[in-house]
Amino acid sequence: MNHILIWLIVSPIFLAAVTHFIKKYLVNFGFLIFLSVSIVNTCLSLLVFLESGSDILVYRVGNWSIYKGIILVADKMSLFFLLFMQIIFFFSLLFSKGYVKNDHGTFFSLFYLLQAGLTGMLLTGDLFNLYVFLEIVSIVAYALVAYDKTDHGLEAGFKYLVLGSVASLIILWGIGIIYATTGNLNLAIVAGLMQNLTPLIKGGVFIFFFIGFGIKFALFPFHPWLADAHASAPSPISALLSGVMIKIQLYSLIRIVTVLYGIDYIHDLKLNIVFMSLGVGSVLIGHLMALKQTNLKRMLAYSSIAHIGYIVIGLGSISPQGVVGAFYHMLNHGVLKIGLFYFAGTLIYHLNLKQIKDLKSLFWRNPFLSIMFCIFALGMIGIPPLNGFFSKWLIIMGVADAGYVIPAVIIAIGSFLSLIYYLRVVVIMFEPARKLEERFRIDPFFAIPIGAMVVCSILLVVFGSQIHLILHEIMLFIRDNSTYIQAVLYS
Amino acid sequence: MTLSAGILILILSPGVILCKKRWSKIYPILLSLLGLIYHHFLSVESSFVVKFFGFKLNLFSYRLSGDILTYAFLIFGLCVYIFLWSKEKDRFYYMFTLWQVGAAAAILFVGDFLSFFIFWEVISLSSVCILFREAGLSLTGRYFIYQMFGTVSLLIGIGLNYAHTGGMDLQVNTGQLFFWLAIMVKGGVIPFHYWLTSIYPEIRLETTVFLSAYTTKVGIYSLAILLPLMDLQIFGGLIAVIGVIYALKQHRMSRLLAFHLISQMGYVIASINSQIMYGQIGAIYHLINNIFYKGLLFMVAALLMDLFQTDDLMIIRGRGRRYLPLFIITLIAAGSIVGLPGLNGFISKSLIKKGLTNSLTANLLTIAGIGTALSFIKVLYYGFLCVNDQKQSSNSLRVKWHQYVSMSIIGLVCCLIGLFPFLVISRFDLTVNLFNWTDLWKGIWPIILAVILFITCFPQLNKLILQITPDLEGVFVNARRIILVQINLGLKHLQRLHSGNVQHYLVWIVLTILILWTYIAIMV
Amino acid sequence: MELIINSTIIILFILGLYGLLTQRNIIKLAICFNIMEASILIFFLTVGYKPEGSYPIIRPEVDSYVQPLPQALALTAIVIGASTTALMLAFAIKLYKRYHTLDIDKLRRLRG
Repeated sequence: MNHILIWLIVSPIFLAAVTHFIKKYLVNFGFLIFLSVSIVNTCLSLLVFLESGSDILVYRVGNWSIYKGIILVADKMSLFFLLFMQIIFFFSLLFSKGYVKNDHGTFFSLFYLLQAGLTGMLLTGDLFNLYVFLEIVSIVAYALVAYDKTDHGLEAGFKYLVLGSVASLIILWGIGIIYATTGNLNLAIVAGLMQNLTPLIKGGVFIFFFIGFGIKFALFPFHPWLADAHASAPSPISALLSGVMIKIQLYSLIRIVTVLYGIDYIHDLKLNIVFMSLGVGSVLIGHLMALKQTNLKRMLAYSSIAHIGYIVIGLGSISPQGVVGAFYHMLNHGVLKIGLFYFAGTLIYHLNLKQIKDLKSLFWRNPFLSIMFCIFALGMIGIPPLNGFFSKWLIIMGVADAGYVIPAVIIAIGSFLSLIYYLRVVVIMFEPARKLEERFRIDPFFAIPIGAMVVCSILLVVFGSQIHLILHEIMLFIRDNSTYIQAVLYS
Repeated sequence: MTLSAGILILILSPGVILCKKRWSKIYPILLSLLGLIYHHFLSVESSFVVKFFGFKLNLFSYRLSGDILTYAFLIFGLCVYIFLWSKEKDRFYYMFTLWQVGAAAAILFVGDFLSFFIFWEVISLSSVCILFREAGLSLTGRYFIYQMFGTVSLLIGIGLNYAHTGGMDLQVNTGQLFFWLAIMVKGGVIPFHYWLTSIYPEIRLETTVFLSAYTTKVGIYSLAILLPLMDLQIFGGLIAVIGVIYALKQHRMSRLLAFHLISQMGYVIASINSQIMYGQIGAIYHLINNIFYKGLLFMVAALLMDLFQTDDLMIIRGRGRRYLPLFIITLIAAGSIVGLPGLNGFISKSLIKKGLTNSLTANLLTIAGIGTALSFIKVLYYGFLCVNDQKQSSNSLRVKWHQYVSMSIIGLVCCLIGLFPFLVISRFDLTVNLFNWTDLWKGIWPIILAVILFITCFPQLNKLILQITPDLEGVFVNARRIILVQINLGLKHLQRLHSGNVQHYLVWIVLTILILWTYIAIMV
Repeated sequence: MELIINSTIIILFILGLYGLLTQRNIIKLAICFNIMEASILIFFLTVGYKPEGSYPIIRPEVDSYVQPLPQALALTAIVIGASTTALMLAFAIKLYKRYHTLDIDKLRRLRG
């Protein structure tokens, strides 16, 4: 069964290599191939997730010993994220099929490379491999942001490229220092050798990883690229970047910090304060900047920054509820934000509407889309029956329980601010039409993913208790890294 | 394991969408009837606890006051649905109003903060949905933002409490201020009443009937659940007086009633946390009465609006005299609200006065009583009694039978619990006889004084009030404008920081690295 | 010897960073980025370096080799760095065609 793990990485890479041929020679059923691979991969990751139970799967590539070769490690946390990612990629594939015109294979090639890179980031158990996958993801993301070759896209892509490659360099420094001091790159082995590092270097490496990944997932002082890039990218890509990619970058940081440093280190150095203050900064800056945006996607992008802040605050509290809430919020925000970006993409594709003021009386032209937007927006604000509320609640309670009152208050105020800017859009959207506006129909390739996201967000509430169990297990793993290390060392 | 009646209604409410034309009107009536019967036979000992996401949702923990309020909520809901029979309302309207009824009835029995918060929000959300279909969007948006202000403050309060106790039980140990703020916003209490007085006059009055009965009452009732130790006597008294003074200024029925709503809530606030049993029971009693007579008055206003296309008393000027049953019903409602012996307002006001320990509050409430009486004499006079010298326009509109039915039910309830107060009070294991001369006289003399004042010097009084009262809404609007301008300036600065130059962003990164390094170096 | 190498690494890195923060030309930014990259590559090589070691191909007469792994890592990093640089230059070309400038300060349509 372990071979499934490598298949999940290799199959997208292989597809990425042959998309050109598929597009050229298999015009009619090329998309079917994509679709079937996606479905197979989703099913496989579901299978692995269900079969693995609470074991940690270790796959040694080429059957080398863990001291020489590279390994793939799949525990509950990575498999859960993997499943989530595969589902999202499946719907993104549908949406991209509708959205991307005149593609000769380049787009899907990049798309699959992104999928491969993200899967690799989730599964790898090796620092340098992580760096390689991270770079695959990043470079593909730079290219995809500029895929439309519009002025804004190019500019945003370039800015993202500059900041992102600086981040990669910083991460590479961290990895280099770790290799120089411990002589190994395997996470589990390095974790046992971390005491070789002097405290100052240990702290310095932590800062390298924190800032490097912080830039990648757009934490507060490093956030400006996200608003540019996510607003200018093609919409399915904005959705993927916002909904999945930044979460997986954050996942990588969590994995490195928890395995290499452990929770005690954060407690000892009071790094909670760093997490909290940057998280609070993200929440405030994200929401406040979103208030003044005129471009719909840019507003959504700033809201993403704020929600990353929620997640970081929740993780930084290290209280059980805060961490569970943060993980739950990753899923919720992912689903809702993807839905919102799909919404924006549908409008761009059908009507070429980008500005908020252009949405005037949209309701009378397409009620389905408008209602979907309202559901997503209410979820993002955190109104009770919807999923966004429960994660926000958990984060606030967890953070308050851990004794950080100000961040809890800020999150509560954040929902107030987000109400204001989402409401602005809704008010414009439901403005009575002066003349009878022509209705427009949307393609099923657009409607299905949007509907699916609504269904997902409802399912996330309905199966809340089951998800809570899984997330609780993940949280326990995070608090105690020894299971991971033991499982890898004695594989 | 039993559901409360409110949750039953909430669960069944989407069924109304499946109903065809006429059935969509019958369904809510049947549902509230069902809820009423269900609630009546509900066992007191039953409980309902659901585990959700690591929290225990305690959806049913019995409270006596909640039990009685549920009857009031459901009976009133039933009457309103009968009242709405001939109105053109679609299925969604019924669903949203059912949400409101259900959530309001459900919140009375919840036993933990999470479920309290959820139902609290469902009430807001359903109000927003109702308003959204009735009023303009900007108005709804403003309402939503006001409500969100309260919600956020409630959320902060709950967070502080959780940090303090680590539990979700409905017990406030810290952060009372935030809970107080949330309740005041929800209850529309001065100085947080702006949403109430600016929205009620703008929407259709039959919708106001719904909003007046549930949102504010739930807000004020939460005082008893959440802040039972807070002494609000003087505050309540002041609210009662200020509300009445502003009500006296109004000549539109809807605005007048909105301010009276606030004023009557002042009575409840003053005594709901009273240390004396009479006061607490009086407050709950008054909440129930308020649901009925205030609903009745709003119904009258709605009918006047239907009949004369206006609810401005100065335009109606006695044209209501042709509708004798309407006049009688108004008389009952007005009699209730001013506390005429024999009607329910008298009982609750007497109980409240018995429960006061602060003499200043007692005086304030007496003044408020005189003002209320004055105001409703004005309503009766200009609505029905005064002689109109203009030529009567010959409109042949008639009040529909079902409207009379629903209004008579409410009127009957008012008389019933006014004449036989033991119907309610005996459930509290309390006996009190208010029909003795001292209490009767205490109830009657403000009304007599008000009649005398109205006959002798009402125009002068009106002028005086107009002069001494500052324009509260103007103050609000100005304050809001100033705050918005400041926020806008701040946001502009923030936007300028995001200059679009990558190198600036790189500088931020380098600075952060340096700061964090220093931090680590110090901590190590 | 070690001092020289270490100071080279630090000087190169700071030089690159300084250039990245001050130069306004996009091409120069790419160059500065490469200088930073070079510093870290040198760092990788020094990690596995032994003064008396031979190149890492096993032969009977030699018993001390430099470590091969850092060299492999450096090679990978070079590849990644090269692709990043290529992408940066491609962006530079495209941006020049659109904005008719290579000045980073003029590429400011996305802001606020």
